[in-house]
Amino acid sequence: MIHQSSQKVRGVIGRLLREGGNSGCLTLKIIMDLIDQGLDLSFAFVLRRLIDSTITDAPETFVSRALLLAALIVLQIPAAAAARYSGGRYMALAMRGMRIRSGRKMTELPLAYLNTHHSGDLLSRVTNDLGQLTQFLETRFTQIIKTLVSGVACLVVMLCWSWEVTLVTFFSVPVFMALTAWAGRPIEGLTSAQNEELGHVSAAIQDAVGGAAEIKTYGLYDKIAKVHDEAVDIAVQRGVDIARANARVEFANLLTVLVPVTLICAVGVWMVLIDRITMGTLLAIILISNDVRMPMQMWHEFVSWWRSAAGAARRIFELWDEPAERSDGEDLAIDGDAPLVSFRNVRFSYRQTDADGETAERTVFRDLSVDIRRGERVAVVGSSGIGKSTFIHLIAGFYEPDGGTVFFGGHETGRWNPEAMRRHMALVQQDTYLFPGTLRENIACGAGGSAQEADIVRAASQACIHDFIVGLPRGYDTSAGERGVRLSGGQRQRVAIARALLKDAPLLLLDEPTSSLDMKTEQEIQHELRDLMRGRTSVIIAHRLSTVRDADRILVLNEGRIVEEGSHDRLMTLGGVYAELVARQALLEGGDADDAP
Amino acid sequence: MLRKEPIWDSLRTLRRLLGLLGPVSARYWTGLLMVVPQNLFFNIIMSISLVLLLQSAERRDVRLFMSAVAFVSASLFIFLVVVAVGGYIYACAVARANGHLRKRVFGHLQRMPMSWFEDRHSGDMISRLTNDVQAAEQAWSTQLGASIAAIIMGVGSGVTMFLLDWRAALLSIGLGILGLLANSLFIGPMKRESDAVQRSLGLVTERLADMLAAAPVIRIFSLSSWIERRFGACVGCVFRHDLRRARWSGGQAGMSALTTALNFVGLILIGSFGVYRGWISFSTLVGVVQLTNGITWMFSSLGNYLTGLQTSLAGVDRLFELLDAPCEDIAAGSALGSEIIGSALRVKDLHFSYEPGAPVLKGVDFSINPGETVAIVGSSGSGKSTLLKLLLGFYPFDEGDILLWGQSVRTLSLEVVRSQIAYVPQVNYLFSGTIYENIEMGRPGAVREDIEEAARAAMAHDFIMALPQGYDTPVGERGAQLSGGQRQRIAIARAFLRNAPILLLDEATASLDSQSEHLVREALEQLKAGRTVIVVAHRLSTVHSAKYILVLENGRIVERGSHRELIRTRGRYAYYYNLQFAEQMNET
Repeated sequence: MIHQSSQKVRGVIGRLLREGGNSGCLTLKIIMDLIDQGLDLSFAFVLRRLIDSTITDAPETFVSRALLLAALIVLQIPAAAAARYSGGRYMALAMRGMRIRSGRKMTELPLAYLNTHHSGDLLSRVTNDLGQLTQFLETRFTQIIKTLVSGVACLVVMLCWSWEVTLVTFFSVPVFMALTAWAGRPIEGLTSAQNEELGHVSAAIQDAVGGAAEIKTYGLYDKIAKVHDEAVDIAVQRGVDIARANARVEFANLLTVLVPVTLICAVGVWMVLIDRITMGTLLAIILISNDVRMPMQMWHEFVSWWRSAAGAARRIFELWDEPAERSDGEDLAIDGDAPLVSFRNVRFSYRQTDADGETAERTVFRDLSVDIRRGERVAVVGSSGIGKSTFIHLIAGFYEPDGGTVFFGGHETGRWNPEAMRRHMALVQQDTYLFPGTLRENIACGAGGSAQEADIVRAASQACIHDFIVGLPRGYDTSAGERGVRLSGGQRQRVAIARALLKDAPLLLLDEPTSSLDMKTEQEIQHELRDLMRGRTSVIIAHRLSTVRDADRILVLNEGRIVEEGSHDRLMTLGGVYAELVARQALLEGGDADDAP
Repeated sequence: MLRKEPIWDSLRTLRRLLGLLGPVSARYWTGLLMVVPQNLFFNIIMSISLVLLLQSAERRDVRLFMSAVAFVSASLFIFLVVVAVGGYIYACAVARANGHLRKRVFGHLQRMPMSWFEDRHSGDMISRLTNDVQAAEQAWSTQLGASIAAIIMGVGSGVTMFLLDWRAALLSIGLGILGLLANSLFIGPMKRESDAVQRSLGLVTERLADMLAAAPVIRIFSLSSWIERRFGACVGCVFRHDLRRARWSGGQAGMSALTTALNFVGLILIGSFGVYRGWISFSTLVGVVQLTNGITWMFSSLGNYLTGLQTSLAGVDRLFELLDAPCEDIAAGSALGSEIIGSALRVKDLHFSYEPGAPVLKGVDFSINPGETVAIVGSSGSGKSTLLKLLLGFYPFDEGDILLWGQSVRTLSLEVVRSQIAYVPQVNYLFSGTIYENIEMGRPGAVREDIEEAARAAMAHDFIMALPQGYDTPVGERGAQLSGGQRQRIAIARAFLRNAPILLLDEATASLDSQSEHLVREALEQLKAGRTVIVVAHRLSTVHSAKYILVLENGRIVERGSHRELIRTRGRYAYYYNLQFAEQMNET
């Protein structure tokens, strides 16, 4: 089991280094590191003779050794600088490549994947997990190699100089390391137990804040405080247990460090006393003994670095390995005789995975059949959250239905090439995102990123945003988005409408285009929306019933089926679900007296 | 962003924080004193040991050697024990102190007035609290200890060095300081580039979030390549700063090597020369070199530790802000008298503003008799929710009075007032725990039969029993997701359990699915029966069945009367009511 997982870990790190590329840079870093260490070792050699020469009183040796020492010192300066720089450069190059690839993946992934996975988790993989790798790539990976190689080399040298000192000193190290590991075993369990209690503490704090009204009105102070305090007490108890285990670990760890040091000094000095080795040799041994002890001391840390890098890399590769949206299918021609959009017995369920990996399934459509003819304006209403957006997503081919078929332009959506199919569609959403770029670019989005100036201006004028734009100091070159001009909700929607107008697509999809606007702005946009919908087939999802009144046909969704359809007047006469919805909204919005029916 | 405060304020906060140690104070300081000088003592022990050992080697003195070994072994063993035991005592004290602090903060948090909660964004508040408590923990566990340790180490090493040989000590310290200064030339630019990297990374994260959120638009308008190009530019920005930082870092590594080299040259070469010439003994030289580390360590790390400590203390200050803020005193006031004078609830000319100069209620006046139901309607911002909050005593009102069973709430304690009221809010909060525990919140300590009876009355018993774990199903953050209608019925069950004479009901604006709606309506009708009810209405059935309706606009009651009366008046109420469906509503 352990063998297998370490195999997999090695495999992941191997892939990480391959994907990171820039192997030349990495090799350079490793070589520089080894040169740096080599110089350290040479230091010890030279120092040995130097010290001895002071004791044996040999001035010529002293001077020559001193000069050699100086030369080594001078050489270390560029070596150290080059090693550090190439590490940083390697990391920068590797990270750039991986970030770009991750970004590309985000735009390629099928929408179904994005919607069924917790967006925070996805984002975290590309930011946090990737970020965790910077340290590994920049320093830790090569540090592991450097320390191990140097440790072995120094050990060999030490053995050559004085095998007695070496053996006596280091036989104890593995014993104490095992002792430290044994002492530290309970800590992981205790820490997670403590974290669990702290989780309860967090939950209690959340209750105190979120349920403040309930706590005050029902007098729940003591009850909630009891939960909190009990969890705190248990957490403290775990903390004490952890302190005890840590004390043992500290003791063992110190032994691991102190005993070898003491032994080297004691045994080494004894050796000098009995003239087995010289003073210079002893000091040189003390100097390089650090390099031998380092890999042993840091072994656990190395393992943990390796494992967490592998863990982070694995999560990123999971994302990269996810298949992109299909790009097969044909570029078909729209069949003029068939309805533009058609649903036949469509069944669809929505699967959501949250951050803990739990999956929940909700049935959205049970048996949906509807035809939308060319030029028709269809509105879809129903209580919130029963998949009205899903209706649009199925039309656009973002999802495949679980059962039944969706047709666009007379052909199954499965037969269409997705990109080709969407060329015939335009979308206006509830919250329009303005991409960082100029306003011109944001409108030109409609034509895939670039378009003639004249067309852009025409679209903007039709959307009634042209005058506002030319009124800005930089006009169409004004940058939009977070760091640019702040547009009001209505203005953003107008940009989205201009975008859709520019595309001039036969099918218009409107997903709650005015839901985030206040009633007054919504009224103003109605005009532009009507312009947009003229001569086009449109499907509009609306929450505000005032937007829906003009539709040729209203589809009322309830429990996964269309329960009513018809014009506004006809449905009101029916006095069913639609009428009830309208009534409820009236009491809600009984606000603006200006809102003339 | 925590701002850094002047030193004196930080010291004051630190003193106050240490004052909170309370009962564990003695153990804390004992542990601290055992642990903190460890590096210093270790250095001194090693230094002295090396001196003795090397002297014995120089003089070929076996007896000195033996005593040196004995000294080393004994002192190191004592050192080990002191450090391990001291560490344990210290860590225990810190754990307990943390526990005390958390309990204290929590107790205070609960009793803060509603205004405090409503002024703050809840997620922000929770994370601030968690972070600030952790900041306090860090302050008195690691940062204070590390700072003191660094100071002791530096000063102690310096003193010992001078005692050994003042000339070597000066040389050593001088070189050490030079090295640090040279290094510091690089720290500034490196930090600048690191900050720039962080900022550019922030932009990259924003772009990624955009890509996720605008996913449908990107695909429908075929914008992938355009987006990728811009993202590439963003990433390129990070790259450039990373590279620049690498260059500075390389320079710093070179400089570091240079200063180490100079130290070596200075000490070992000059020192060896000194040994050669007999100015200083070899062993002493080694001892001095050993101790230099202590001083340079102090200089290089103390700055960081102190900065970290100051930052944590800024967080601790916020905790003190909370602890010093005045809380609600729910017990101040008298109990209800046994005499009932007049109506159940009387609101007399109530005036209230959240902020001076922006009045929300401007003279609201009405009264309700026991058992009556009054519905309040009005557009958002008219003051409906505010009225409910004042009735619950969440805010003190400016002018006017509220009389409960004839007694002014100004004389009654908050506890008493709230005990008379059951509140069913728009969106009720589910505490982390089981459904049973959540309903029990209505009357803590109630028996199982009462809770089940309340659930039955609230039309909730059936759906609860349908769940796999029934009443023991965990809900809240980590539990089952209940639908809106189910949550409402749990809130209604709580109110049933409470069994208070007055009911405040804030109807949800969002529509529930029709099945839930029917059940909730029935449950509410049962709950209202026999009680005095004020309901902020959004349902047709509610306004139809209310005894009378108050129409609130801009903080004033503009119309009052039953539904039929108001429709006949053809005023504002009639207008709202008929707004979008004239043909449909039958006038009853």
